[in-house]
Amino acid sequence: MTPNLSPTLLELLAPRPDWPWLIGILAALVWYALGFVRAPRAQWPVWRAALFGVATLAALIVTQTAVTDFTLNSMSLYMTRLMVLAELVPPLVVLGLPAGYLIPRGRPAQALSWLLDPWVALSLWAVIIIFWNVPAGFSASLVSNTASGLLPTLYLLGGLLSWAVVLRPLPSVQGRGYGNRGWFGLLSALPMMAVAAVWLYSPRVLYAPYVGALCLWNTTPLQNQVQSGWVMMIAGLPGMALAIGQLMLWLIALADSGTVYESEEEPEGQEKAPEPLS
Amino acid sequence: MTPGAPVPDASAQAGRPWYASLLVAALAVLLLLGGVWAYTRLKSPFPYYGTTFDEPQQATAVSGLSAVGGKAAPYTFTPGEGKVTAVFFGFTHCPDVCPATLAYLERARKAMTTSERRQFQVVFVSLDPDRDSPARLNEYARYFGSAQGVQVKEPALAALARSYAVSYAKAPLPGGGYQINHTSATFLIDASGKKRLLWDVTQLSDTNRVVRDIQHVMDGA
Repeated sequence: MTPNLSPTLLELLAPRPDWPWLIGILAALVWYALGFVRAPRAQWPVWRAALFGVATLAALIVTQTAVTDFTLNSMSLYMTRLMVLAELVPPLVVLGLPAGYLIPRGRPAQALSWLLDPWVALSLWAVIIIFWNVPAGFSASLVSNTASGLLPTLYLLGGLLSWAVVLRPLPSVQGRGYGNRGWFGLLSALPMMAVAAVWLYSPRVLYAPYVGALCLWNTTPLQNQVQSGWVMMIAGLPGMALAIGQLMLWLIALADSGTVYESEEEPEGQEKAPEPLS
Repeated sequence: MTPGAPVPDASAQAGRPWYASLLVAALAVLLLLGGVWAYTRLKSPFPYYGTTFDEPQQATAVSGLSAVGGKAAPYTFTPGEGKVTAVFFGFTHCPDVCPATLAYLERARKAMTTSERRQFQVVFVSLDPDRDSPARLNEYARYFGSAQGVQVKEPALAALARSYAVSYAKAPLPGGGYQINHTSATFLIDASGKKRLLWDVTQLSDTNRVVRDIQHVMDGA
């Protein structure tokens, strides 16, 4: 009469290859493995490789298993999948990169310097979150026709961009200090938190594909939407906590010296004037 | 990471004026949205409002009973017989989604020209064949417009629903009785019998866009 609406963990994790994703993940894995093998262990420690491995595993679970099929019947599972791609995989990948060892040069360096500019990253991330989550007539055609194919990729790339700004894996092209990154982290968490609040408190189902959906585990579409709100909010908390931590460090430095430094390493013997946050 | 190229200066980012960052941010957003637009146009050159099928699939025929002249008679909708068809699965005791869907589809039909109306039909398949007799279905469908109500008995109904990826399940009501929780999509099938796109009930309220989708499919695109 109806598909399995109470899947077990084993059923959720049944293999279901998605070739474009699999090829992308394997390519990233090969690139990482080659770099790891060639690098001196002190500069590219094993713990970073372990974090990258966990990120890869998480990405494989949400892209290469039956979870993808079951998201048709569960907004909360759909949101969990997106949040794993946006808020779990990216920080692990970024922490898995050997900060200071990878030094982009030339044009890639210039491109990364712009791409990892907090303003650029914030704008892209906000658009990804708001455009696909807030019902808007003008974008209905684009939203409905990209939600399944393109959105998970955008969440992953947007998350990578966002976490790369916060965690600064490429200090040679990322010159922003704690204060700047803290403000970025706080502001970039707001759109997601706002959308999560809408899911949590809306009295009716807003996300079109799930309005009349049969939901997994005997939940109603509205309960499912509320769960999605929780998933989104909880997923956004680590980023927000880190942003607050960075702002605290910035404030402590400000209180200690009366001066705000844009870079963490103050040049020796050089007094630096406070710079406005830009 | 290019050997020999100069090492960049991290202060370039820190010292960048805010308006330069904002300008590049605006360009990046335009590039992103433009890329998304290009992706959807690549998927489907016409900006369909409904969600399109990547590969239009052959729709399954609907065979069951309909009321003809007050009596139940066999009815078959065979995809590919020349008419563009909207197929919707629901039940007559439905409090919201089914009446709204049928009303919206009728509104869309009325917005078409007379010749377009002749090439378009709505088929309403009951997911509650125990309660929805052909006569009741006919009365219900006619109340909202000109949809063709069809009663398909189990297990044929389950197979039919599966072929359209439609889910449904009985849900008991607190005061007794039951309702049917079901997928609320309406499938648009072209004149050659291929499933082209689907609309959710929330999309159907935008009559102009729905009609534009139908007209484009009708034009043989």
